[in-house]
Parts: sequence; structure tokens; C-alpha cells
Amino acid sequence: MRYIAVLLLFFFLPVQAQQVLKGVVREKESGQSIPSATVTLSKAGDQQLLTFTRTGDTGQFELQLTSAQQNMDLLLTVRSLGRKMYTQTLPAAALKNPRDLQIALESSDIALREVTIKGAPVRVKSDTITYDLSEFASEKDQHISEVLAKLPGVQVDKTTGKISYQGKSISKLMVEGLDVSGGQYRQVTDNLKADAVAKAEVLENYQPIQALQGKTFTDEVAMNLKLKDDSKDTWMFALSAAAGYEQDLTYSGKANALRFGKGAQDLWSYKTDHSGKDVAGELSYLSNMDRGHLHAMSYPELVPNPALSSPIGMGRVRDNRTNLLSVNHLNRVSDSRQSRVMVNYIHDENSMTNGVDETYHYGNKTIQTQERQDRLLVQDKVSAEWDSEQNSTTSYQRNQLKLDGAWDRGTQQLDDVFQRLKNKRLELQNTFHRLIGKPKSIMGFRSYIHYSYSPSDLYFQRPDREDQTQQYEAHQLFTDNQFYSNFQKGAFRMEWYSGLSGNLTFTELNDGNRYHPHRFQLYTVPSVSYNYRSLETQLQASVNYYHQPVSHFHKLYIDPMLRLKWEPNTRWALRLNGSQSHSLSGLSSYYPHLYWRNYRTQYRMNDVVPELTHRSARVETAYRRVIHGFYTSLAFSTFDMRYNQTTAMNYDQGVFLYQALNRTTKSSGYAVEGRISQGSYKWKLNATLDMTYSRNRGETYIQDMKQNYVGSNLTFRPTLRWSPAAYLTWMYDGVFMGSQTELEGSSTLPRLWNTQQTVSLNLGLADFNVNLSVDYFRNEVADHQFSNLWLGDIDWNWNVSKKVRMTFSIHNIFNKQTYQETFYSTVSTTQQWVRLRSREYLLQVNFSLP
Amino acid sequence: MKNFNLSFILAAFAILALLPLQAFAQFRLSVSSGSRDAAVYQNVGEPIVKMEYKVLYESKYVIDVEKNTIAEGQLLLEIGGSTTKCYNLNMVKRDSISRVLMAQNAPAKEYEQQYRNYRGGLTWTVFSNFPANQTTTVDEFAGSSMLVTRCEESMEIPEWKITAETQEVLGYTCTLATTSFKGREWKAWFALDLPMDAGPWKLRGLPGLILKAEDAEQHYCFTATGFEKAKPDEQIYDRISPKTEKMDRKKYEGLMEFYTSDMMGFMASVTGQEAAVVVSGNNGPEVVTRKFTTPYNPIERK
Repeated sequence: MRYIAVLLLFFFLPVQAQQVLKGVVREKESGQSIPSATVTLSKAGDQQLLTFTRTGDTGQFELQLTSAQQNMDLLLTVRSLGRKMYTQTLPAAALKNPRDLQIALESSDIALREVTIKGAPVRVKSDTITYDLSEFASEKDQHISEVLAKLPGVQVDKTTGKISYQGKSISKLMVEGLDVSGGQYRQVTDNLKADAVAKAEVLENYQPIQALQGKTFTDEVAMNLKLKDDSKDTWMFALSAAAGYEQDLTYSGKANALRFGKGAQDLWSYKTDHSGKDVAGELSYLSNMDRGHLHAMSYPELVPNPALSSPIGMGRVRDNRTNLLSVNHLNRVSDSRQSRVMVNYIHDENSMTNGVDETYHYGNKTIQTQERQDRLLVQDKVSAEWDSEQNSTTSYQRNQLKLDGAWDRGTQQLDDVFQRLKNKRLELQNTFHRLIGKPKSIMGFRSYIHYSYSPSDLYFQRPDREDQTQQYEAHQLFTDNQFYSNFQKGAFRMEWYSGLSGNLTFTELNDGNRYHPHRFQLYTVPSVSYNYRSLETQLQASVNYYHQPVSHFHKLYIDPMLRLKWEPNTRWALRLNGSQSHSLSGLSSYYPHLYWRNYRTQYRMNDVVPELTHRSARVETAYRRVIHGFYTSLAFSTFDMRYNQTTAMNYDQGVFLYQALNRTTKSSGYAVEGRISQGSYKWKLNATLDMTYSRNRGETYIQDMKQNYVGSNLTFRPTLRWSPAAYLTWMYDGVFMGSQTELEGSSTLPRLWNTQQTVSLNLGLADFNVNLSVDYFRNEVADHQFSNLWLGDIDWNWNVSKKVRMTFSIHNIFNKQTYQETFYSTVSTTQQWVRLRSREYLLQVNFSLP
Repeated sequence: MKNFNLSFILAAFAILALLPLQAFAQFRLSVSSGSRDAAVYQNVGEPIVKMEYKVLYESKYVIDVEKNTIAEGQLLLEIGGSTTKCYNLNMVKRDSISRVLMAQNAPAKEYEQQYRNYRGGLTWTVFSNFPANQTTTVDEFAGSSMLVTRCEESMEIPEWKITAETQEVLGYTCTLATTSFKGREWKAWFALDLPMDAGPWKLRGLPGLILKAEDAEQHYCFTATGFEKAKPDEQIYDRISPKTEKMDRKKYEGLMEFYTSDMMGFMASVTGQEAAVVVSGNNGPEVVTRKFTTPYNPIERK
């Protein structure tokens, strides 16, 4: 059948041959050919379009006519913009043997009927990136922090909760355009339900001061969360309770109420915990943008309560009892005025058990100490803050008043030694900022005043001495007042700030020794930046004059800083910076009277202000091939530090005595850091390897002898992430660290390798999600002596309903008791161990309303 | 306190403070952000041809076929001779508006309103007949600061069937034509009175400007809402930026697919940074290992 059809086709072809209609279109007036004119054919008397073509560069056109078309009367139409339409009827008879057509178009004055495009052009700058969270959130996500961490380009730090975008920390977290947490934004991210938020916006080049918008350069990044309609201006409640077992009963609970409206916002929360969680972290300030270049000043502390710390993270170690109550209220008085009040109270009890064996090397001798201790640190702290802001397009003013009262009690129980340290602290501070905006210049004034009263009370018993009591008291008033200004001219930007700061400090020890080291500083810091295409450079000079009357100290420093960044294309980046700085050390490094820092350490410095000169340089280059998922970078950095005096250590009869020595000491070093990363889109796999090598040289004085040392460290960090299926992800993280110390003129301490490897697996099916992770530590505690440790954790999550979620966890599955490691620091070797929290079971239930 | 002369320091401070102000006051302040127009966004790179006409389309696009979520936006078509450039205006506009509202501390409702007006998810810019006889697709699906893909391929013109049906769009009588193009069945309404060879996305090759187009499933609908002559100094720019990576269609589609199926994995591969996401949740650090997908309903189905 097919062959017959083909044959028939051949037979009929000559009969059905197409006619071609040809022609040229020209301008009537000039005779010039018209390209791109439309030539259409339709049936005469009918609008039905049959065929069309466009004229070529010389105005020529060709139209193929089918046999059917050859048998009807046709209408030829030629159109070209700005010219009158041309029509010609072609009778069927004329189509049998068509002649070439010569068509002339007249120009036309009739304007095109334009329909104005409304809304464009737009006055914009694309500084906002908006994430529609419905595309990122899942039902498993409880709090907004979990969703934010999934946004491309956004990172949420694992321990602090700090949010950054493309590596830059955000300077503000807002909800519906308002910042209710005042920088303590974990209160928002850890409490706000994930499903209440519709969108997250990242605001690049963020300028919170309206009067400065469009007038100055800013590279700050802020984030704004936009709620779903039904979550706006309504109270949201969440309750969670957990109970478990780890040697004794453990528990955790929280209740919070949140409201984010356009006129008022509230954040109320209460938390209690006895399961090792870091509750206090919620109150840390993760951003405080409005301080500008104001100098910070802390209270003058001589005997600090050492914070509890552990090489394996406090979460696996601490035994805590924590209660936290916090209230934030923001009131928006008008479009340009708002005020915010924050009050919080925390009672935080933490204890841990650890042991430290230290060996100090000097010449061919050593000093060895051993500590095995139970430590308890109890803190009660009340903070209150009042923040008022007036922010309009013509002026800006902000005042922040803050009051803190803290009472820390730390006890250390060793075999035959007991120490108790009570530190109290009262701080009152005020930050004021006013912007004086003139049509052609910007000028601002900032002022900071800080008063503190900080008494401390140390008591210890040790068998070889009488019981010791030491009381210390300090009052300090610090202020910093500064003018600033900045201007932009083409690719240049000039910035400058100058100010006067000073502190009045009064200290007294219970032995009657008084010391009042007031200090004054006058400074001006001009800087100029040049940004052109892919090149950014900044040059800054910092001029500082210091005066400390009691030490007869006055000095002027001029320190330069240079920064350069060049990113010529998507593949290469080069960053370079170098700087010099001078700084004066704090009270504890020149306090001239003898005092106890703890039961085995005494300090006596002299009244010479220690000056530190620090020079550093860093060069970094990166190459990436985005489409091949390949990234590599290499950096080299070096530093050189000089002190005009040194601190010598002498050990005698179980007491370390640190004394100032009028000798210059120096230290220097370099580091090489490299990273190589390869992703495979096809295999859904990403592998990264980080390498760091550092080598530092320095000198120290022990037992009246100078000891030079060289410490070196080599670290490899491989990571691997593999998601073979949508419900399954495997991850591997490793840290391999080797360290060595050479003591010049005597020995080289053995090279130690400490390794940590973590494998984790996440399996998510429907409403269930299982997370399993296993850590393996292999630490070289002494030459060729290893300590091996396996730790395992598992969590099951079950979303019972939209409002109820349950989590069951077993931590430290293998019930390991101690973690042990050895590390080098300057001329000492420290062997330490910490007691771990035992195997623990925890069942947690979360409810949320509405 | 004897050697500390307060009045001397205050006087010195005053001089220091005023000197630079005097020096800087001569500079005219130039406004560097917040007030440049959309051109800043699109007029990246070098001008390629003088712009003659602009057509604005209202676009509707089904982001997620299963949930039937729709993104509405505005496409701008720039025409210069036989070269055209088509892009989503809302990507630009939305960013700017929220920025302005944010600056004014605008009430939340206003944001919401603006968002409703300017929602639009199309991330591509299509050049037709640029370079000559080529189609260029520029895409910033992962964000312009991350990666701008650029894919050049030979220009394909749909084979149209012209029907007798007409419809009025924007006051012009438009004729319906149909075609099967790049995996979808398209309907296009063109105006014979606007005899230019142009249309939204890659649609062209009709005797008049395409003022309306939609695919048979109505996943993509474009309807013209404005048409005007360009200003004498307006140009079409090639949009080549330092973040541009050239690639072929296979690689481009591979990247899109990877991005939409596993965004975290994609970002990790692109930036060489975090290989995993860790969230500091209430139960201490938690590793977020779950992948999340974005719906994928591309206009071009190979």
C-alpha cells in the first residue's frame, strides 16, 4: 500500500507544483528598499490569513502559493512600521503566471497607538533577596532558625546561633520591619514557630538610618522576617516539656508568648532546664550595629571567675540547673518613633569535674602540677534595657540605657584545697547617637558612658598555708565621645571619625593598697576607599594619643592599614591586607600591687603601661569553577608582635608568681591555609578538604631563665556529604591535628596527633525523622599512647500533628565516662580530662497554639 | 593630674574634629544607592543595539503543578531591530519596593499588598537573535550574587499555524496562531498592525508582534499590558556581568535540575563552603541533613 502511495505522489507532483509570488518593497519617496516589512496574503473578501513572509535586506520577498491558493482571488497586504499599509487584489487568473511585484510604500505621519507602560521604569536597586519560605520549610521544622539555615547563602552558626549571609554576620534581625530583640535575636529565632513565617528577606547594603539612605555606602546585611497573615498581630503560644534520666531525673521546659504587630511587638519567655542545654546562650547579643566606632570598655577585673569550659563542648559535660525569664516589648509610637523595653533574669548553675596535669619546660628542667577538681559556677543576673529611637528622612536619634546586675559564685574543690570566689557587678551604661544631616554633608555624634562597680571576694584553704581572704573593689567611669563623617565622590569614599575617651578608675585591695589608673585617649581615624569595577581598596591611618597620669605615660601612635580585594571574574579572587596596630594592655597587666588570682597564682606587675605592637599581613587567593562545583583557595598570613615588657613566671612551694620584667619580648609566626572542594551534581556528593599549617616562634621567662620556643601545628579537615536519595543523607567530618613544640637549647617535645571523626546519618520518612551520629576520638595523650573514645547519639522525631511534636533522644549511647586529650601551649604541655554526662534518655513534647 | 591639661586637649580635639569637616565639605555628595532605576539591574554589560520599542506583559506562571501555586509577574520585552530581550521586571521591582518600604518602616499590610502585586518567579532573561542567529538565555535561579548562567544556542523559530480566530488585545486586533515548540503546545495572538517580528520568551516568527501567548496547559500565560516607543537614548544591554558563566544547554539544565532537587547540595558545591547545615536548636546543635526541593516546571521541556 505504502509503495503505491509513494508512486501516486510522484505522479501528481508536477501537477501540484507550487507557484512562487515574488516582489520587492521600496519607499515611495526615495525608492530605497524596505527590509523586514510584513507581506501577507489573505483570501479576498475574507480576513483569513493564508500565508506571510518578511522582506529581506534588499526589500525582496517570495511567497509560495499552494494550488488551492492559486485558484482563488487573493489580497496582498504589505505593512511596515511608520508607513502606510499597502493592499493589492490579485485575481486568480493573474496567479497562474504571476509577474514580479513592485510595491511602493508611502511614509505615514500616523503615530503608533502606544499604551503607556505603567510602573516602569522602576526606581530600584536590587539589594533585597527574598526567600519564599514555603519552598524551604517542611513540617519537621519547629523553629524559624531551622528554616533559615536551609536558605541558600545563609548560614546559622551551630553553637552561637549567629546568622550570616555569604559569610557576613547580619547586623539586625527584624520581624515585620521591627527589631524587638535588640540584637539578642536567638530569642526570636529559637522561639518563633517555623510555620508562622511566610518570607525571609536578606537586605544587602542595609542602612537602618533613613536620613543616610542613598547618601553613604554601607555593606551591612540585615534580615527581615515576614509573617503569614494569620500570624500577624496575634499572640502565639508554645509550650514544651521534657523529662529524662541521666543518673538522676532530668527535665527541661519552656513557655513562651510572642506577638508581632505593626504597632507593638512582644516576646515573653520562661525556660527551665536540667538536661545540659545551653539556655543562657539565648541572651547573648549577636549583633549590635549602632555602636559605630565607639570603644568598648569592660569593668576593671583582677580576679575573674574562670568560665567553665571543656575541649569537647559544654553540652556533653555540664550539669546544670537554669531558669530564665525574659520580657521584650516594642512600641511603635509613630512612623518615625519607637521605643523598646527589655528585662531579663537568669539563674544559671553549672558544674563539672575535670583534671589538668601541666608541665612547664625550661632548659632541661620542668615544673609539674596536677589538679583534679569539682567546679561549680552559679550566676544570677538581671538586665534591663530601654531603647528609644527617632528615625526619619531628615534626622536620627537613638538612646540606649542599660542596667546590669550580676552575682557570680564559683567554687573549686580539689583534693585538699578549697576555693570560693564571689564576684558582683553593677553596670550602668548609656549610648547616645545623633545624626546631624545637612544637605551637602553628613555628620554624626556618638557618646557612650559606662559606670561599673565590681567587688570581688576570694577565699581559699590550702594545707600548707593559712586560710586566705582577699577583697578587691573597683569603681570605674568610662566615656567615649566621637564625631564622624563620611562622603562619597565617584569611586572614592572618605570616612573619618575623631573622639576623646577616658576612664576614671578607682581600685582598692583589702590590705589598704589603692591604685587609680585613670587614662585618656584622643584619636582621629581617617580612611579612604576606592571601588572601581572589580577592585576594592581601602587605606586607613589611625592616630591615637594616650595619657595615663599615674604612670606618667603619654604617647602618640600612628598606625596604617591597607586592604585590597580584586575579583576580576567569577573564577578568581585575590584579597590582600596588611596592618599595624598599637594597643595598651588592661589593668591586670600593670596593676602594681601583689594579689592572688586564685589559690595557686599570685600577680605583681609594675606601674609601666605595657604596649603591644602588632603587625600582620595576609594574602589570599581563591579559584572556583561554579558550574563544575569546584572551589579552591590558598592563604598565607604572617604576624609579628612586640611587648615593651614581659611577664616572668616563677614557681615556688606550690605558688606561681607572675611578675613584670622590663624587657622587650617578641613573637612571630606564619600560617598557610588551603581548601579544596569538589561537588558532583550527578552523584549528589560534596567533598571538602581543609588544611592548615602554622608555625609560631616566641620567648618566655620561667624561673628567671629565658626560654625560646617554636610551636607548629598541622591540621586536616575532610568533610563529605552524600544524599543518594531524597530521604537519606550521609555525612562525614574529620579533624586530624598534629602538633609539636621545639624548645630551643634543650629538647623537642614529641609530635602528638589528635583525631576526631564523625559519621552521621539522617533518615526521614513521612512524619518520622531519625538522626544517628557516631563520634570517634583517637587522641595521642603521650608519645605513642592513645586514648580511644566512641560516642553515639540518636534522636527520633515524630510530628504527631501540626500542633504536637515529640522527640525521643538517647545521648552517649555507649555510656562513656571521660574524655582525654593532650595539647601544647607555648612552653607547656597540658594533659586534661573531663567527666562526661552519662548515657541519658530524654522524651520531649512540644505544643503550640494557635 | 598636673600634667594633664584638659583645656589643651579639648582645644586640640575641637581643631581635629573641625579640620576634616572643612576639607570634606567641598565634595558634592553623590547618591550611590536606592535611587537608580531598573536599568541598573538590567543594563549590565555593554549596549548591543538601540532600543526601539518596549512591550510589557503580565505573566502568570504555575510554579508548582501539584499545588497549583501561581506566580504573577511582569515581563518586559525590549525590541531593537530583529534583536529582542525579554525579562521579568518584577525580580527587580519587588526587591526595590520592599527596600523602600523597609526604609520607611511601612506597615506590614503595605508589604503584603505590594507582594501580591509583584509576585513573579521567572528568573531568566532571553535574548533573541543575539548574537546573530542565536538565542541567549541568561538565568539567575540561584541568585545574582551566586551564579549567572549564560547559554547561547542557535535560534529556532516556531512553525506556526495561523487560524482565522481573532481577539482584541491592548486595542489591537490580534490573530491566533498555534505551534508546538520546545515541548509545549503554544497559542499566540499577534497584531498585524504592529508588523515586528517579536514576542515574549522565544516566541517569534509571526507577521506581527505577539501580544498574548499561553501554553495549552496554561502553565505559562503572557498578556501585553503596555506598548511604547523607547526613548532616543535607550539601548539594549548584553547583561554580561563578572558573575556570568557560559555553558551549553545540557549543563544549564543539569544545574537547574540539581538546584531544584537539592538546593543545599547545590550551594555546597557552588560555594565550596559548608558541606552541611547545622542548626542550633533547642536540643543543642542539630544537623539538618534533610534535602529540600523546589518545584520545577520549566518553560522549556527539551
